[in-house]
Amino acid sequence: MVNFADNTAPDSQAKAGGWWSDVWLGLWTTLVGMRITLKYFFKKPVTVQYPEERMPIPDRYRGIHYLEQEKCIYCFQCARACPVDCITMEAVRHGKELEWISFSVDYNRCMFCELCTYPCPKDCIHEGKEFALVTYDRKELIHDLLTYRGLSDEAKVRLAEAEKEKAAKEAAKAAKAAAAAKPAAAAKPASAPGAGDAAAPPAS
Amino acid sequence: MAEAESKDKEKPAPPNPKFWEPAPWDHDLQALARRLAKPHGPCTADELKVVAWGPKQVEGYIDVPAAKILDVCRTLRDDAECRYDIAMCISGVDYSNDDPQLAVIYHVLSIEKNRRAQIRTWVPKSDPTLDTVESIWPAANWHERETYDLVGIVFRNHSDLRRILCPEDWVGFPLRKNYEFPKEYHGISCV
Amino acid sequence: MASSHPQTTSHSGGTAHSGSAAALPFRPAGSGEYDEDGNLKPKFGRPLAEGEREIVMDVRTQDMEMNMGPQHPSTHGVLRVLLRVDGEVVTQAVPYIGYIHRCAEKIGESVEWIQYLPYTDRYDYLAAMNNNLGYSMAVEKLLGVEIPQRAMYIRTICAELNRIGSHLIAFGTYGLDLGAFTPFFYSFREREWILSIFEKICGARLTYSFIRIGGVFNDAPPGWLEEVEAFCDDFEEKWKEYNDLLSDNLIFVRRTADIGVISKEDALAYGLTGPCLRGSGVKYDLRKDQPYELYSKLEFNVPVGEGKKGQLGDCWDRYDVRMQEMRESVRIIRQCLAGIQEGPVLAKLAAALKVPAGHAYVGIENPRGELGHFVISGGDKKAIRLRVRGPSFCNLSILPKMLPGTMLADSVALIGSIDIVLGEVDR
Repeated sequence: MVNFADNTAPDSQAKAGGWWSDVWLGLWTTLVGMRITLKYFFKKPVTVQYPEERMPIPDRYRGIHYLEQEKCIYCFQCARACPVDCITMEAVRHGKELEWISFSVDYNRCMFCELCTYPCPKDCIHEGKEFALVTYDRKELIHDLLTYRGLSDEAKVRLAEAEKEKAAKEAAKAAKAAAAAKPAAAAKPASAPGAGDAAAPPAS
Repeated sequence: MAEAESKDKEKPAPPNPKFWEPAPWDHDLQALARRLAKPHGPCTADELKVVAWGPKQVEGYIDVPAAKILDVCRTLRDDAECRYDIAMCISGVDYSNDDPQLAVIYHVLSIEKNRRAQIRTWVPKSDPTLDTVESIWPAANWHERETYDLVGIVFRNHSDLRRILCPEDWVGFPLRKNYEFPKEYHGISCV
Repeated sequence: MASSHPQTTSHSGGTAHSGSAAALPFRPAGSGEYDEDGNLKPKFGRPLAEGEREIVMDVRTQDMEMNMGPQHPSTHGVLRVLLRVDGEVVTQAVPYIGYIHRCAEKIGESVEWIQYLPYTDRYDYLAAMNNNLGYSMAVEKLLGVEIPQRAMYIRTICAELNRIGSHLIAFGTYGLDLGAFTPFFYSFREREWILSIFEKICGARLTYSFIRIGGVFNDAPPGWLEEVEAFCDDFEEKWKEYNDLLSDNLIFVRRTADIGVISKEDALAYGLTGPCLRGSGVKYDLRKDQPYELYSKLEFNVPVGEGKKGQLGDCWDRYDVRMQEMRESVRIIRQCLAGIQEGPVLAKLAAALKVPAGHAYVGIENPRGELGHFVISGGDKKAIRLRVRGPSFCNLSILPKMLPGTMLADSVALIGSIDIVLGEVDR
């Protein structure tokens, strides 16, 4: 159809020499390459057999998140920093204690950029070394990072203590108030029986 | 330690007072404007508005009238002082919804002189048409197609003005500020 | 033309083969004009000399349109090229792109400055460090912050390592395109090391998001710089093997030399940058001519195509420029390792970054050419406009100009030699 000799420009034809030299050069340059292949033929392979052997994972690896829930103060800094809005969290504050409802990362969206970990004031969200994220359903890719829901055991104790303290404080306050009220009551003895009389009829 | 760092973070670094200065390879825009004006170039002196480099502006550019963009670009390429042989980047800009105009900014590079320059032109949003500079820099072909595709500026006499990145049947120009995201595309939910 | 003609299997006719047909190396069947007798008119108007033989067209072919891609191993992604072929000869090529278009520029307008960083990884995913660097530099230009010295050194080391990694892919897959399978494995062996080096400093292997506005996220871990040094020592030895494996192989040379010649004028007109431009003999490298960061202090050469195996600006020249650049990158890394000093790696920036109003265009030398980020800020938390000038996008635009007139099998060599990354073409 067309003259295929056209394909190679005159320059390259001149450089390549004759047919025999072509064959020789082609063979020789292939052999040069084969020598390298042969050199590595007797060396240990650099590959690893994946599921059985694994490559070492460095400390800074950016895998699935983990949360140090005790430290977290529910400040939303990580959720705000996230470019894809994949972090959602919900908690109820009881004074200083947090009652956790959810803290989830949507791995459908997450791109493991680690931008969420830098603004954290308490340094409590990290990216771990786990990377296998295979599921049969997309819904399963929304991971909950919480290790406990509601209040932690320590928090329960602390809350109970705090409530006790509060109750004690209130009792003390009440006692103080009562102590303050006594002299006043003593000063006006007439009013107290009067009040007692007023309250008495509905009770009986 | 962590607290000290977070305190430091609140204090932003004072900007280097000279940060906006043009680099040695940035063309002196006043000189370029003189070159673009008559007699060398196609424009009269008052048609060109030089927005110089400055701390509130950073990069300067020359505003040129849209009607003369083709001649200006030809001067940029052919003039002995300019010799801008590469159209580096052509970008359409919609500054805001209130702005009735769209801007087209041309970044050009001269390899011979190792220089850069920027020119800008405006087209009204009601009729966003502009002459193509494809005949001057063939590289502009795809840049202008992209500008048409994303910003919706129509280039007159362009050889092949089709959408390039979005599909042919895409509605709207995504980089306009009043662009509304589609709810679905061919039955695929976009939300 | 061919179909309209009655004598479709004529043995007469044909044209004298002109030796000086450099402008049109082929005479595709059906593309000539015919006289009244159904004979092809001589194209070059030269009468046959005594004893000269005609080349007879046995079967008159019809033009055929065929799609190369979007799922084609040699298009390096989802590129579709609509080829009009006449037998084996390409007569027209129309690239269709945008299959993985994500409108990164729109994303840039709708997320905060620092949040856009992970998206920059995703346009040229083989050179994500360079993309991070380009974007960060553009925003830093508006902010006017000064980057700590140590951060600059780490940035430069990472960018150059990434350049080597990217060129290794270009080298390996180019051999793969042309049927040389072995070099691919060797290139991936070194690339694997580079990736594990990156993994140690930032924790990711491909989408680093490491170089940020104001510096880098983390300082180098202990032992990291020594490992980079060890890599450099090893790589210089391995680099010689690549040449033995592929560069001088006659089969490879024959498939790349004199194929896809881009003249200097074409390269400039179509806005090629990077190895494609330098392969055509234009000595232009942003790192040298418009140095940014540390590059003005560093010593390195800018390799350009010399037409060693064929014409200047052919596929082999572009390939060779990449090979030479890898060595220069090693030189740069060594100088950085010698000069690096202790210090902070991140400038102090406000947590909620507000960038002062202004325009800034910053171009850096990506492995594929000039990656430009044109940033317009209105003084707010988000950009008004964020334009990305992708080098692959511009380099690819020369394809409709280059492909016509080449053989179909050479189109693979040609596309491979431009070394496109479709993530960045489509953005």
